[in-house]
Amino acid sequence: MDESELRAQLEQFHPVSYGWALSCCASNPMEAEDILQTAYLKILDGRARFDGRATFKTWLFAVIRHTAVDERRRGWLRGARLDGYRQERDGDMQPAVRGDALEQTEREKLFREALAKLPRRQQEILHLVFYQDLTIEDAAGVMGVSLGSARTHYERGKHRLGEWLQQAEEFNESRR
Amino acid sequence: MNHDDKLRQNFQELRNADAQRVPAFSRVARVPVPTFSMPWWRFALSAAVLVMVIFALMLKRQPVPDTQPWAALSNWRATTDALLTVSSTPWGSTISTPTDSWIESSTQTNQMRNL
Repeated sequence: MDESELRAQLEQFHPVSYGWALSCCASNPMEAEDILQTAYLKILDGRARFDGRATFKTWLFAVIRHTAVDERRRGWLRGARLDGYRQERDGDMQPAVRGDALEQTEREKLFREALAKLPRRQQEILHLVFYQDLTIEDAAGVMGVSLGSARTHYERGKHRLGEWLQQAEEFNESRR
Repeated sequence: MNHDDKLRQNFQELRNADAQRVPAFSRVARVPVPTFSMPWWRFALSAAVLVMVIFALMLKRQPVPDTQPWAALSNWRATTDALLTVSSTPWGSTISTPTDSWIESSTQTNQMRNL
């Protein structure tokens, strides 16, 4: 796959990739963009190669996840490396993209908070299945865990999030 | 609406909200400008320091001692070798006898008397 093909594929999956990157960094838009940019660079300069064993989307999500894990581990390095890009980007950033200016509905905000309270693996599997419409098997491939482990995370996460939804509904009904 | 549908609906809302904030692909996929640029004088300075360090190391380098066994054997000398050397001065002039001191003192006494 040459660079123009790669770019076309990346562009096609860009909106969902951004959603996945957001999920990998606790919904921080700036960090998500940094992670996405680093992942794209890895792919475009050949450090990450698509070997066709999985679908492009699954492979791309795995690269983004690995990048997020690496960047978290080397947070202090990231600050130095991407300073120039940040300065350049912040200059032409539209106001709507800034984290503080994001207008979220109350329900959406509460749901994000509930999701953030789950263990990371559970957050990831629920996002991949419900948000990205991946199968549990594909999600396991993205996360680099066995299918059995992915199923366990999926069931536990769904159960905990379900409890939260139940409580939220009861609370809303009591307010009416 | 069952439990899975509710979850799906909530995630759908998140997806719709995120879709409105997706940054432009062209902006994310462009190569960042490297911030770390080394001016020419830093290269020159680094090279100069390197040359000085190498020069200092070369000056400090000690000659390697010859540890070959044959060389050590050829340099070996017995401690008694000193006894084998023959003095070039005449034998009699260097050896004093016990009576020398007596002869010397009597000579001095005679000289005193003559004065």
